[in-house]
Amino acid sequence: MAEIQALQQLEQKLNQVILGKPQAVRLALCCLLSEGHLLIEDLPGLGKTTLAHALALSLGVHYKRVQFTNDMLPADLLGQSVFLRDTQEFQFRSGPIFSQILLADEINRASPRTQSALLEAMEEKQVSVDGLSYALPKPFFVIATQNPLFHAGTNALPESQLDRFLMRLALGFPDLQTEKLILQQDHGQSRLEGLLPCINEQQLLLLQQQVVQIKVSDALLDYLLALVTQSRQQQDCLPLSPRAAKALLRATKAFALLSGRHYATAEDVQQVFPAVAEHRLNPGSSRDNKSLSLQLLRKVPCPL
Amino acid sequence: MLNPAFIPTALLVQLMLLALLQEGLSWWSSLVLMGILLFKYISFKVQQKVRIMTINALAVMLCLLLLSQLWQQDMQDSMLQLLFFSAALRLFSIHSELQHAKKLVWVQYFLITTGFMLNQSLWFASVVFLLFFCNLYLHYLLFAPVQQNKFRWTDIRLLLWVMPFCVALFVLFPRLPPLWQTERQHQAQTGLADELSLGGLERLVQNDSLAFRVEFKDEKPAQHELYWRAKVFEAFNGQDWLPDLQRTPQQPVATPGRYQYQLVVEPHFQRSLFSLGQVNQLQGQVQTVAAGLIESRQQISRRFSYSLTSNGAAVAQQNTEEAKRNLLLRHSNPQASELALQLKQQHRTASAYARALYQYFEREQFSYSLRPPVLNQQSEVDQFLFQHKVGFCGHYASAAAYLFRAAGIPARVVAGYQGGVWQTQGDYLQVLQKDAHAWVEYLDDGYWRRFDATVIVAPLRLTQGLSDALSLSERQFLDQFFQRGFLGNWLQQLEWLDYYWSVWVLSFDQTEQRFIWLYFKTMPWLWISTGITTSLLLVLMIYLWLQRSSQSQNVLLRQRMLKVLRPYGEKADYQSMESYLHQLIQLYPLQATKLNELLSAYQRFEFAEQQEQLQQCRKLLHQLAKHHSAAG
Repeated sequence: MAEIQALQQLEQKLNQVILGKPQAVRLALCCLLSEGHLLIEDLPGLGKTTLAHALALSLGVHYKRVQFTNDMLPADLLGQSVFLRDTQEFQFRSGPIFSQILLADEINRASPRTQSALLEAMEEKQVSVDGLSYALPKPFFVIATQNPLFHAGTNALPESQLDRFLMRLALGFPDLQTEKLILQQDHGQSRLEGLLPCINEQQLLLLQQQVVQIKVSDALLDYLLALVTQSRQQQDCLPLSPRAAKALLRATKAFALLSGRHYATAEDVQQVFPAVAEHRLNPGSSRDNKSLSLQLLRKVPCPL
Repeated sequence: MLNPAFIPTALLVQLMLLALLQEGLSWWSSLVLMGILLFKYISFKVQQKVRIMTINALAVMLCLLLLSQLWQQDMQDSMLQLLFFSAALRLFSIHSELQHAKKLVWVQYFLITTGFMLNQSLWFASVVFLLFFCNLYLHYLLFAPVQQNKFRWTDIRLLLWVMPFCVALFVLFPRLPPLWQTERQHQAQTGLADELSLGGLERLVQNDSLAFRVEFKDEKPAQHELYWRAKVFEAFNGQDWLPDLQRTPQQPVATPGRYQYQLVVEPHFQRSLFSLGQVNQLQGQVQTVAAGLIESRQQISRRFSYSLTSNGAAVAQQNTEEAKRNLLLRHSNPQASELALQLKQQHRTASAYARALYQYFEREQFSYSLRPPVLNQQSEVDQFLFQHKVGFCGHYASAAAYLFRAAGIPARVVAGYQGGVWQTQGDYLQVLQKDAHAWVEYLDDGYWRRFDATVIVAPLRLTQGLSDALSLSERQFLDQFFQRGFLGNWLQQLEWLDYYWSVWVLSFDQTEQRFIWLYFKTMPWLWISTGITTSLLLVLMIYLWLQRSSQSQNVLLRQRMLKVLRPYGEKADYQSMESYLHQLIQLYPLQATKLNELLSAYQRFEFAEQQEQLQQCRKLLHQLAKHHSAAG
């Protein structure tokens, strides 16, 4: 029970940092609880990096941040073998990816080659360099941010790689009151300062185990499948894969846990659906990055 | 919105009704109805709406026409036609009005059942059932979705479920006697005539149709004992024998009789019924009248069943009046009177006289024929006895009764049926119109003894029925074809079915019901086993019901929620119950507590599968429903 309380406290603290975006905060937490990687996509200056930082900081795990650029090489990320004169042998110098949370800022600025190196690590949870595999620490999250694709100097992530991210979130503009509050509270220091971790590694692993045990009724599974099936019958979007269905189920369960329940509801599915499905239905991002998934939700009757 | 299949189906039903009720409709009304249906069909095809004024004018015209015909027809047929006209005109006026269509369906149910007033045979009943199901389908169309024109399996299953209840209702629902009754004037009278002239039974004898059927309970009488008494003619006017008009009812002698039997009589539009000899006990809507006869309380215009007990013995003399009455004679036939006196001098007692008469008929070589020579109006008996010596039962009975009376022995002519054919399948006796017969009863020692001269003249007539007594060659061919062939067997099976349809279904009335009840009471084991079976079935049904409802309890609850909450606000199809309830909470802050409780109970029931929350959900829904109806 202690971990649930800690979780709620964590959410509260995050909301104090990211003002006016409780839904995005909850979804981001939900993504982490269901052991998925998170992609935050929005215009510059809307708080993507702040959210990523806040998450990493408050989780109390080891994290590193990498700013992706177009001349970045995979070795810059993964690490490389260095020849040591003293011992006359190669030694592996691990790169920034060897952390529990990796903040990959502006991931779509990197070349496809670097991107795929990262994405391989995300899926396999290990890194291969010079024929040797190095396991990544546990838990391992990637929180990536990216600018919308129409911005100059970006390389779009291919569909297969987008699929590795459990969720794609957009923060959007804050409403007027929130923005005013942000301006009022701007005292020249970052909101992130003084943010202390309120959950430890142990508790996080425990919470992740609890997510798996959340009860999902048969009828709810049917509804979830109906959503997935509907995407496969539609012409204007890509079909959702079984991996997507699994991701949807996991996210639903995590969302239920975050709401303090031990069972998932139809509303949970509907809440996480746009975040989980949109980037799979519509890989090319747009400003309005929920439209296809919302259309799909409206097409499937929900009796529950 | 009316199902597009409704009007063609209704047209078909009415067309079938027209065929069914043909007997009760006059020729012109059949034509008019035909015309209306045809016209409706055409206007339906071309999608032309008929003006209501036209229909009203037509209705008024038809009413007037019916009124003008009222004195010619009997009441019942007129009412039937009126009802049919209104149904047809209603169909004529329906375009897409659901309300009118509903009324039409009910009137058609009523019309279909009126068919039973015209005919009650099994075949007719099966047509009625067919029509009933057609109308049921029509009824179904009223509620079926527009695209759904066929019965679905679930509908058929529902019908099957209902069947046992129908049977139970039929057996257990109190049978009421008819509330009112209309006599039908039937031109084509069948059965025995009200008077007997010398050639009077001829018309009947040619007739092959069924008169009545009998089932004996234990002992069956011999073929030559089967004299079914129906009418007694006591008055002789010189030519014809007429029934005596003084009816002094006679109570049956309440002693156990030898034969117990049940009769099912075909409608013959008279009141007279049939019995064997002296009647001891009777059951059903029958009463005794003079001369040991029985009759129904009403004219028999539909199949009628009753049970009797009799010992087949001679009927006892009622009083001295009766003897006197049966001595009256107008001596219109001098030769016969003379013969009677001669014989009487030689044979003093009545029985001896009767034997002498038998001998006389035998000695004088009388013969049997259904086509005897035509007799003059005067002294018919003389002509028959001394000139032609050819005739059938009517001649012999009439002549013998004359001879008895002329000799001073009270005698009367009895008309009825003799014999019958045993049906092997059902073990019942079938008596046809051609078995009609006439014989004589003379008074001897306080009893009316039977005298049947036909026995002497045509012995086969008695033991094997009429067909054998007649020209054999033609009859045999037909009999072989009908009785031994495949068709014959099949026909016999059908007749057998029809018989039990009459016995078990048509004649099922209060007495039968009481009988079933009494039968039940005397047999405790039957009681107990029926009780156990019924309760087992009930338990099974409840179990199945529970089983079914537990599977779909969630669905049922969701449906109930939607129904109860709809007045508060509509739920979008894609909306989850949670967001729907939140939306309602916003709209009805006063109900927020209840709605919140409902939401949490529902979520627990639906998603956490906590069955105990169902009660809570139902309770809250009940309160919400009540609240809304109170507020609304």
